[in-house]
Amino acid sequence: MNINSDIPWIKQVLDGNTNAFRNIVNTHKDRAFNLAFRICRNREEAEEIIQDSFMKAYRSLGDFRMDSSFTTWFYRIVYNTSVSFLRTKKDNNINLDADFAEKYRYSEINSYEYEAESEYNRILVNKALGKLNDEERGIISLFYYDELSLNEIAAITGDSVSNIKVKLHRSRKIMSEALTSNKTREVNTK
Amino acid sequence: MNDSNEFRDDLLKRYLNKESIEKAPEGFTERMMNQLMTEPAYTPEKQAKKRISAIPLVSLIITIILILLAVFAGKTEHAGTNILLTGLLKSINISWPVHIPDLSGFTVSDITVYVMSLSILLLVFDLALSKYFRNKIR
Repeated sequence: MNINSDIPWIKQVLDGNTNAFRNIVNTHKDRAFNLAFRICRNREEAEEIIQDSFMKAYRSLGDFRMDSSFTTWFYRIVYNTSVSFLRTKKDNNINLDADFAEKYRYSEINSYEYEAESEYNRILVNKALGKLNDEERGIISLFYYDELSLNEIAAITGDSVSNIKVKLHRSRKIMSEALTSNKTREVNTK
Repeated sequence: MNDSNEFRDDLLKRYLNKESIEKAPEGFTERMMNQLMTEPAYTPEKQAKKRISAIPLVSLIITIILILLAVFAGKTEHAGTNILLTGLLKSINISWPVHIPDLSGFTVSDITVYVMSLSILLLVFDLALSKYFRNKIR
């Protein structure tokens, strides 16, 4: 992670140029959305979470230490917002994307078309992620999609490196089993 | 990290990679900025005030430390701190407005003289800090 690329924009925002925050949003929106989406597995909620996270980041920008990594700092906000969002949500089971994944029929997939396969993989991953808890989904997302180190993930989640290792190992095992079993089901239906 | 690379090189890497990230919806930046524009903008003065507010706190801490140091120095005869404080005051080479008793015979009432003297020193220190912070803000 480049810790300096956001600093000029942050300084501009602190000098009163709110519009400079647009650059920060553009830089981080996709990765932040992906993290929130992987944790809550719902696009509408993920958008709500990252909007909330960007607002929190803007309001606390004056407290940000310029010698630290903005990405780590911001990801910590996104991660905590996502986890606390799900904790406060009364009905954690209603999930549009998960429902969609359940309704998706394996026999309808044309494996020869790249787009269909990639959509199929997306659903498989979504289903497998559903077998993990909120925190584990966040860790998996940070590790695989963002390719962060264990130290960086520990800094974001507030967990120790050894705990991250344990959770990652457990999550990988669960996900691998889920993905393998889905693949086997796919072969059997053909 | 080496230990993490071995984790990453597995089945999941095929499904979970940078190319397959879920992207933010179209028009997200515009919606975000519209929402953000309702927030009060940062002003440089606001930031400056926040940083300057740290000065009294730093001064207070230093004052307390120096007073405690003077109290303990007075209570302990021939203590290391006592010698240190005497040396420090001598090295500053200020002609004190009043007679300063020997530090080895320090009593609580004599501390007042030192507190007053230290207050003047702190005032100078305070001004220096203020100037430093102002320059840093600019």
